[in-house]
Amino acid sequence: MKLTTELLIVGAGPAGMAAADTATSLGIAATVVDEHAERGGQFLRQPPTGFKMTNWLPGKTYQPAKKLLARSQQLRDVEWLQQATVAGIFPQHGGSSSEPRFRAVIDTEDGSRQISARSVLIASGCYDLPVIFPGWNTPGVMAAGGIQVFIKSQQFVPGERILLVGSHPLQLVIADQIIQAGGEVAGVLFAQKQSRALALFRQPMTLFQQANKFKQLIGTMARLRKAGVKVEFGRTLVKANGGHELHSVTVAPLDQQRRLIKDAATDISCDRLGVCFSFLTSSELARQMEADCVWNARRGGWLAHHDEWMASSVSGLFVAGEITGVAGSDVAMVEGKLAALGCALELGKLDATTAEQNARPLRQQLQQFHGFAELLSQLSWPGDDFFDQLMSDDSIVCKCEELSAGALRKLFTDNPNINRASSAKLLSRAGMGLCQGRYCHHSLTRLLAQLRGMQEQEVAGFTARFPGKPLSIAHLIESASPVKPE
Amino acid sequence: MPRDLSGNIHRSAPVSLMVDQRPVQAFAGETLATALLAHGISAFNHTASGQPRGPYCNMGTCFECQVQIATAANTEFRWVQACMTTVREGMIINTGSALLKHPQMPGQAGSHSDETHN
Repeated sequence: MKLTTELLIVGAGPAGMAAADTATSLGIAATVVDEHAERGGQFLRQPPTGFKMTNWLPGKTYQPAKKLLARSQQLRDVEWLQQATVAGIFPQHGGSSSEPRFRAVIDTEDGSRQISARSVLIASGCYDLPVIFPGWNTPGVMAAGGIQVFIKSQQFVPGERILLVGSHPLQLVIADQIIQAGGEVAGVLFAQKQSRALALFRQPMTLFQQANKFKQLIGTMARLRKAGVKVEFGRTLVKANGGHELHSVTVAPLDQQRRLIKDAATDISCDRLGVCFSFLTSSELARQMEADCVWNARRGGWLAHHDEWMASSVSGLFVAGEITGVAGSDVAMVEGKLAALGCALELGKLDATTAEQNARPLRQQLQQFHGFAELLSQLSWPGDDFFDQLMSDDSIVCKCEELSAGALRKLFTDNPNINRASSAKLLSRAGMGLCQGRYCHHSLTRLLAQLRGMQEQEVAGFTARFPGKPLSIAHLIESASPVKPE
Repeated sequence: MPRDLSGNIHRSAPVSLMVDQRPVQAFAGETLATALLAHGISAFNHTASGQPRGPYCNMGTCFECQVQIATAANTEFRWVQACMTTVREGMIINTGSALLKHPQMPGQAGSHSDETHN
């Protein structure tokens, strides 16, 4: 591993790979750090080395990213660090754009190292929105994206009978992938009414611009119908049953106002549940670096603010992909390219006129893609208050510290002066576990905001601190010791 | 659980693991989470209050799939995320049920006596 780099890219998904590709072509030496064994991100989870898959991710929607992945294998001068986690990024004092401005701590199985960087691009992606309801911690309940990873990378179907519940059309794609891999789908339940879900098809411009996506979706629906998979609208989950091992999910219809009709609840038997409503951005590193972020529940929670070159509010720090608002791989790839251009311009590797010329077509593409992403997000978001009714008092909000919604509501009512997420964390211990609040911050912030009549932005998030993910004390001590130059 | 249904995958050479003192076969390169689920283990650990937990996100963010492992190269048991850890020949894994029987903290010499078996 190098000790210094010009551009440190966090994440080897579509945004990170695109940025590395463009950066290299502009003469910027890039180092890409990624947590997984193989590059490609969640969108292109690759089979492990030694596995051979004859028909890996066949759909047309995967093609552009697969092309980029193939090209990235040819890239020279890019250092790829896989199975490596960025635990923190710190400003380097006295740094100007001609010297390293940042110092990152990178953790691997073999220990931690530090690397200095002139610029940083955070392309850390997103994860499935944790939806809080009774029994969501039961073994067998999973993020639908987690189920999809098993299938994408290994054709492993993690259950005899899989139920998908949510509001995002992605769950149709996952149901199809389960069937293709030889699994059984107990049903696909959408919270919204069918008319709302189908509103996507009534947008002629979008239909035209996103023809491939619609074609694929129609094909998916046809295959599911042929396989006899029930796709139902206006129904959602109430609780997961099983205790030690999931055996069924209680579901109920929703009325016109999207309120649960619990009297009409029934059980669906299954040994695996995939929850598929929305996503949260992985914005911890950007927030740790004190980059300005704006709360937007529907687009992924804390979104990093950026300018037209994808530069964040912190000088030398760029952002691309889901962290700017969950929008999928097409947006991520364009933003990655744009961020690399912005970085080249700032480092003086590109003159303003050339940068502007190269950026113009990318910005036009972005505008089109963003239109689709925004529409998709609107139609698949069941509403902020939809989730409140699922979070009954006995639901666990902070799974690490085992704090229920009821306990938190009582604690916040008894302590009326607590009106910031960070002070709520100190009071309750919510967010202090291994996941560091990734799975409770959105629900706790919402709960506190509701109780106080405030906006989530005012309640603010938990303060993001080093290390971004748990690392061993031994690794930490080792990384802090002086590094010998190579 | 089904793992060879579609017929369009060729898996790598098998490796042998010890899961809760039982021999288990897995495929080189796959994650521990896959290997454990494929062998019908759904609870990977227990919380402080004794609640069973299993994989949720399968991408390294939720920390619900923590298990304890030891290898020939590193014989001291340590916590890892099963979804982010690649199986290796001879790997020893303690899942939640074993943890209850043999309380053991990382870095602490574990008691392997049977006195706590019920």
